[in-house]
Amino acid sequence: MRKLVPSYFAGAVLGAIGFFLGSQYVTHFIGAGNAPDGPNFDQQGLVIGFIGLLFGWLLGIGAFKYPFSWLLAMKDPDHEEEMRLAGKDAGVMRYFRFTTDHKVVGIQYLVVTMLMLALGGLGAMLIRTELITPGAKAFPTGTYNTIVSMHGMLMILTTISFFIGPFGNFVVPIMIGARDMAFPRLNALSFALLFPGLVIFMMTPIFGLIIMNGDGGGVQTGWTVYGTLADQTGIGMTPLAAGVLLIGASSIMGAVNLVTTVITMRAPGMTWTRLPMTVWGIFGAALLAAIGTGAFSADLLLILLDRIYKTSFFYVATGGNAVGAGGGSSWLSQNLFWFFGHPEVYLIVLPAFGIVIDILVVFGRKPLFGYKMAVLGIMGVVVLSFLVWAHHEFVSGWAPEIRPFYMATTEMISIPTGLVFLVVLGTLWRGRLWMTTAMLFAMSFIWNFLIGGLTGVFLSDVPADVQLHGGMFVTAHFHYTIVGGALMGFFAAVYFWFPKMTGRMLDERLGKIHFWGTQIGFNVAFLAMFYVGLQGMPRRVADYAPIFAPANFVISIFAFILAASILVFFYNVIASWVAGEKAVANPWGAKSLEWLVPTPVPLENFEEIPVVASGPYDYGEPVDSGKPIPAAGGGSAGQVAG
Amino acid sequence: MATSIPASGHAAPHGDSVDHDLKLRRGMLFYVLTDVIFVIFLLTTYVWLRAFHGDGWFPQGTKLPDQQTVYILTGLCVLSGIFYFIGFMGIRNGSQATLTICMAVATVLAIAALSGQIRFMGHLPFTTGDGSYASTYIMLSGYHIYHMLLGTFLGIGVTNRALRGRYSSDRTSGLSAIGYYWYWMALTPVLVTLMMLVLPPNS
Amino acid sequence: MNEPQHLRRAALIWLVLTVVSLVAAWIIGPQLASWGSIPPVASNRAEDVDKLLGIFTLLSIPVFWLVVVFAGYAAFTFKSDGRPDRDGPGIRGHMPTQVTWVIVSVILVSFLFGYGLYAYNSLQSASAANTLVVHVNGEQWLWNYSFPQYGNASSTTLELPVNRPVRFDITSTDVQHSFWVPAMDVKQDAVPGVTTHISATPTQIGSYEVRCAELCGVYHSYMETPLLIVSESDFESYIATLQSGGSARIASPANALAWMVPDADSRASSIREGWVA
Ligand SMILES: [Cu+2]
Ligand SMILES: [Cu+2]
Repeated sequence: MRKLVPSYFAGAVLGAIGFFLGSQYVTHFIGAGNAPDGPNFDQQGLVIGFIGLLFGWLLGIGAFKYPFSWLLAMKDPDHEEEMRLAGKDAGVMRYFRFTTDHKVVGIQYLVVTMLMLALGGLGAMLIRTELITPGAKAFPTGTYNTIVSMHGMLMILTTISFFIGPFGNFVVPIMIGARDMAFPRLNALSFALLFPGLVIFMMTPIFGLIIMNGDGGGVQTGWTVYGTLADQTGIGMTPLAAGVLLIGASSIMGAVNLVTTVITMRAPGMTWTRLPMTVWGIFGAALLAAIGTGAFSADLLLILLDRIYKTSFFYVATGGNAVGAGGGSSWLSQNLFWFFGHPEVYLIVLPAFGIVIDILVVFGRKPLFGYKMAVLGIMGVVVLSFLVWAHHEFVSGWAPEIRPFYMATTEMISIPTGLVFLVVLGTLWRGRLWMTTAMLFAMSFIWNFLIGGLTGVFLSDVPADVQLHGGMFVTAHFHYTIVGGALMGFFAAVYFWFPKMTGRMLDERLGKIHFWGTQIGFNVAFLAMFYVGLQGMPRRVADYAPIFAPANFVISIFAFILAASILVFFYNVIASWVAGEKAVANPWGAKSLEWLVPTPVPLENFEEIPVVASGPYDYGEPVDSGKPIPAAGGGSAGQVAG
Repeated sequence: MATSIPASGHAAPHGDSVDHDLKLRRGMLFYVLTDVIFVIFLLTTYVWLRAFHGDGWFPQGTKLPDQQTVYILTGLCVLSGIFYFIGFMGIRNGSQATLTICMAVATVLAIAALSGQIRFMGHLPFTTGDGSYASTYIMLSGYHIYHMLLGTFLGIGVTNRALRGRYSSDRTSGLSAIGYYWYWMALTPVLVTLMMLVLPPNS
Repeated sequence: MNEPQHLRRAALIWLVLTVVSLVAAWIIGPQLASWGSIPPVASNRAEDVDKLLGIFTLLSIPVFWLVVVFAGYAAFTFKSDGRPDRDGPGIRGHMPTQVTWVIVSVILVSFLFGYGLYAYNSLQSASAANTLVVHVNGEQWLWNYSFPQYGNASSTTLELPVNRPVRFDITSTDVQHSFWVPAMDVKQDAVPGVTTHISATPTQIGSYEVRCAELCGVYHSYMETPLLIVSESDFESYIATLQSGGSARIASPANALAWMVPDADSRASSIREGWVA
């Protein structure tokens, strides 16, 4: 029993109590808000309930212990205490409580992001089931819209956290030679916020579709949550917005922590020009998350206020349905959203750039081709991505005179992206390519992201965008960048680091099945989607004209193949985690620091902090003269020096 | 990657060479930066709605909030920031007494501003449903209250720790880190007041 | 095989594939509309944009093959059988290649931008004297049209005269919609509280459809109505019918959905009352 308090179990119990007290107390004593249709739930009550849930949860997992001991100026925790908090001698329980060790947090993130991926994938399958033939047969249209919105939002949340979360936490500190993240407690807290955020988010269908019990009760907006529609959509919008706000706060904390870690915690000799590209990619993504998320949080906050307190941020009083004074602006919502929304796609894909490059180097057995160029590419994307958001508004009617500027910046972003492609090609050329599953996925990134990038150029052009905007062409394009780019990168990263993270190898034979199933399913489905897009099929519709039927049938069938191959992946992960082949410390012959520490990685990573004497890409050549001679040879060294 | 054994011993606890003070300050700076960005977007909302509003921006007959009270509350916040700074400079010069007194004053000022703000919000001449100006005013002031709640927590903690002598002239990074937050908290109402009241919305 | 030979072989493969693809695109491109692979081409805008899409496709073919051929060539030729026992050459970059790459991509991007800007400006052509003005009002989930030049005659289905420039003034009563005529390459959001504009000249008589391209609520999928492009005299009689209070013909275009939810109108209002927050 004493082991259970504090823990996630206690947090769940207290969170549930908090939610009940919060939502019921308000409805009974403060008074009813709007939408009295549901039994005893209104929007304001829900939000107060969510706050209750959050506080109950944080109390239960023991997150308040340190802030209050700081407040009361109690003794600062000593090293022994810190180690206990990091999960020393806690066994498996350390994964189920507030644990500060970055490796535990990384594993927690890995599991939760994969769960989110599965849920989002389930949404995709429901969508494809509806669209396999014309006619809205599988779901009522309002339910379908809710599924579309949740699939979109959930996949975005998944993909923005599935690099920074698992790999940013587990791998990056070891890669730069640190004992932990800069702020281990903040790190544990950022995971501890993701989880209740997800729970609140998943209440959307419960309140929207079941309790509200009407087709319109769910979320009708898509993941773009444009203000005017978000203001009037069903009660499901409230848990969705609140959950995403919380997850946004979690990702800001994670980003602040990562940026600080990379800046201040690098081991002696780990100069900026010796950082592995993975670190650069995740660092760039963390910068984007720290800056961009604020816009989206503001957007969601204003939506919640509009809905609950009838403010007029987005609400425009037109015609007979006026409930407030109006004076809002629909374009404001669009701009706030896309100011986050565009950097967000790069936030998803930058870590994949870095990880794919690193994997190509390791399995190509060749130094990185053009290190400075690769860094320039990634940082160039970081800067430019804040200057392009209005390309999502080429048909919105907003500010036509500045469209050429956004067309120019959007096309310019293909220059730094192009640098990354040259780096990739140069690294592969004349290497000794070892075709492991990780390598295959990294190579598929090239093909898939290339298609995503080239079709993006079509959309950056104003006149072409007028025809393609809001259609399936756009859907296919960004799935090529996010699935074809980021998700392939994620799979590559999982196959690559799984041995280090879990101590076991993933099954390579299942990996090959997963790989080919994914490539065939994904490519056929989404190339066919480009085709219906060119034909003129709009996005996010439950029903479509007969002319689009053949291609949609193909899309659905191959989407199911894609899903089946991802099930193989999940099976592989679970089976290998339980009973896979035991991994040695450095199974791939890689040279960055995380491979030089033993597996499983000891609590503080390094017995003694290493002094780095050269970069992580020393393949195929003696270390340049002039640099210090390394004390422990890189190569296949199985243990860290010292 | 080639590594070698560090030649000499290490200054930091359990063998790393991380500057923990720098780390704390940088981290807080980044955190405050994200908060600044969030507030910038809230202010953008105000500027946007003011520039491109429809009829509902400032409906006929809407009254402005009582300016005098707002100026006083803003003044309290600024004063609190100034006391924080004086206290911080005091401990840098080794004066525990200056630190303790100034932190206590800064915290009391913040609590006064906070409770005044909450009371003031209850007596606004408009509600959230009275157009975009009213909406924006309440939203920005509400966010300021959140700032002050967190600030009060930090202020009490800092005062308490100052009382127990946890700071000294070479142990100030915790103070400067919280200072970043404190100054930003004192600055926000100034920005809001300038934009929303000094420039009258109905002009 | 040595380095230059590999390079030459890969370059040759690239050249062949590029030429073949360009020729194929050149032949297939003009057929697409007749196969139903792109919407019918029924306005001046649509003609321009199809040309633009064609040029972009032709430009992206060499870039596509460049990356695919070099990566694919590496994958097949430099593959090691299992775990490699030695490393590849320690090349850390090649300045001339890197500089060339940057220069070429800058040139390509400048061309794309220049051409796009030219196309954009030519589509913003000045309005002609006989321009027909159509007020479009999006509403969950239908389109309302009215003709200010014809005594505000109004309708929920649209007919347009061929070869006469049209300007659409678009707005919305409730949420954001997007007024989309695929065959005319017309797409412009309908934003509550503001009026947006887009112009085009219909060039082909026929029946087409108007769709909503922005998710706008429960029945968004069904926010699709027919559009007829007709002769000048047919248009006059359409207007005359509207002015005498009659309703317009409903012609279901080939590409359309089974037209509209049966009682979309009444559903729309009952739903709106249900949960406007
Ligand atoms: Cu974008
Ligand atoms: Cu619509």
